[in-house]
Amino acid sequence: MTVPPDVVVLADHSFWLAVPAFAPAVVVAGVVVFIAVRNRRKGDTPRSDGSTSAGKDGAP
Amino acid sequence: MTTDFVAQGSEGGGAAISEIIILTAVGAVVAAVLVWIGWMHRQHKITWLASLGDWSARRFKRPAWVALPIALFVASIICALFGFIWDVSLHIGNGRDNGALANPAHYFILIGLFGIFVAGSLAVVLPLNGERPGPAAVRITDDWYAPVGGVVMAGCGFYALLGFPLDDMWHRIFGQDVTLWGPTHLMMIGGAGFSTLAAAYLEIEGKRVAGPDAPRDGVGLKFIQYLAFAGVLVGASVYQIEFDFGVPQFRQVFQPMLIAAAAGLALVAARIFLGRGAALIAAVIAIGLRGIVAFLVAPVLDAPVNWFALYLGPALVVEILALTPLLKRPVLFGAISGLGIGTIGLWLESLWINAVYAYPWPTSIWPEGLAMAVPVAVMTGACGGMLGMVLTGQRLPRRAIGVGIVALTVLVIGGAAANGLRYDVPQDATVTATLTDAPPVNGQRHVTADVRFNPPNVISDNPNWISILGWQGRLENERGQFIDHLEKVGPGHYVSTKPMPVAGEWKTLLRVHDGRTLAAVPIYLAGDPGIGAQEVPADPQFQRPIVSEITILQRERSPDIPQSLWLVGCLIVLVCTLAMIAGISWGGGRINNSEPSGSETKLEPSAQA
Repeated sequence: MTVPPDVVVLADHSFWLAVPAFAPAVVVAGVVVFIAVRNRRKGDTPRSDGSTSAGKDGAP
Repeated sequence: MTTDFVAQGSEGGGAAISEIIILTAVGAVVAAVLVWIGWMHRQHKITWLASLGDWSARRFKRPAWVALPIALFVASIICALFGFIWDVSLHIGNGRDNGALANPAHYFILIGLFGIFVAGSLAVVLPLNGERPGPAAVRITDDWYAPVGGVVMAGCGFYALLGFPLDDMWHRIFGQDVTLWGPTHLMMIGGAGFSTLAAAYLEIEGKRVAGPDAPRDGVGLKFIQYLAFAGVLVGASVYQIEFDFGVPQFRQVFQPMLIAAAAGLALVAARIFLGRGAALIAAVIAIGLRGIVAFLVAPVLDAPVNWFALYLGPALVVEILALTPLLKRPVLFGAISGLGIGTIGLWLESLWINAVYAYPWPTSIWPEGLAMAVPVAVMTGACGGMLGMVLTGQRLPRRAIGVGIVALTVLVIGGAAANGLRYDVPQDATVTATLTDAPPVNGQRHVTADVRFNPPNVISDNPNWISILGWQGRLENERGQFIDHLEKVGPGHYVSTKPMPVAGEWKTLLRVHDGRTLAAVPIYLAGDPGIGAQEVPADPQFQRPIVSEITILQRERSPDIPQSLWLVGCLIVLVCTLAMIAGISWGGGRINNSEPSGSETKLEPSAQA
């Protein structure tokens, strides 16, 4: 595509700008959630403090 | 210089390929480094992170998982605040950006929001060996517990960052919305604003673990606590920024409501948590924060000027009410404070607004302004009361009541906002204008205007504003922003008080806001090949229809997008936002649930896990 050299018009591209921050956030959050879910899957066996979940319904 | 940007009208442009490769690579490296550090720390294969945490723990007299994340958080949120204010001013002065990396303010926002997420993640990752960071801690694995504040902080940071990709999609579908109140923009600023509550959670969890025998906080630490509530206040004020810069694109009745809402939440909680004088001190520190940023942006960086609400009147109301026995019933105290904030507090604030703001409040604003502000302030005040209870370890009301108050607050704010968003454009009304050339400034043509509305009675006696706004004229030309309130010389007949710019890249328009009427008439709009917009010339004489302001101020928006798509977009953003509010409420409830019933005693660290 040829464009006159004086035309420098763009919208902003926040997606690409944000990749260095957004992608790591997704990866880190994903890893932590993965670890937590995996632990819950295999760890529904009784534990020393008797609780099985740290769900939203209160402290374990 | 490696990039040449191209105009791509319908798509709104695309980033240069070299930029994309660099940014993606940076993203991958950052992700790998973060995960690696976290993993190595948890496997005890590196000790420097733990050492750093221990050092900051000694320094700030808090557990490592509070001290280090909070230090990072404070730095990040101030960075984000500065970037945000500067970014808005650059957009007002310059218009759209020339490419992803062309706007220096974006770096500060991005690094700041990322820092918030990393700070939250740090609080999650730091506790080792099954240490339970407080009785409310969230179990990740059998020997890994995370503080609630850390989880909520990371969540808020994530929500804010989520705004970036959604924003990009939004712009591709709907075109650019050159307003702060684009739904995805609200996610970014809201995530950052509300993350301050997570910092307060983290702080209180840390204090509980430290126990009653912990050394008393010195002046510096006390200041940080006040700073936290100044942060909550500033964070809750981010929605007002368009008013602060004098380019409000929505009806003026929003402004008192937004001020009252922020004051209700932050000042009530500050007073309950930090005691006598805390509301006033938080307001003063917030003035300092906003003042420093405003000073950097306007005189130092020569960008458009922004003001900010002082909150001294509302703080005074809260302080006075707190002298009564009401304080013993925090939710009621919050609600009554909200009532006071939404009335007397706003009146006191209006003295400041009318003194310095570009658009003062006319008397006609009060009936509807109060109708919106009072219910909202009562509800956010009640929420502030509950926040104060969480932070002081008082038992919250029953779960249904607590959740009900938060839900009702959301509904009341939603209802008030829905009313505020309604506006009318006069049908079949026109403006006849005569422009008279004035001496050029910076080589740019300037004119004065003589404006007649047809019919003349389309404007009432007490309109919110009849003004000229020029913006996006670039910073080197009068900072790229021009405002002139027209002088009334007869029925429907107004004249300029100073010459307006009508050349170069300026977009200059006549703005009309009169109660429910919100409309505009273009005077001069620079041509914009990037979006295929023709120049609207400043003819010496013209008659133009009064149109919806959004078609001029946001002419980057793509027309012809089906309403259903718009609705879907808004719903996605709404769901994300409700999730964030639910997360913050969950955090507060969870911390509160782990309190020993009916007392303020601090729990010893639990070693039962």
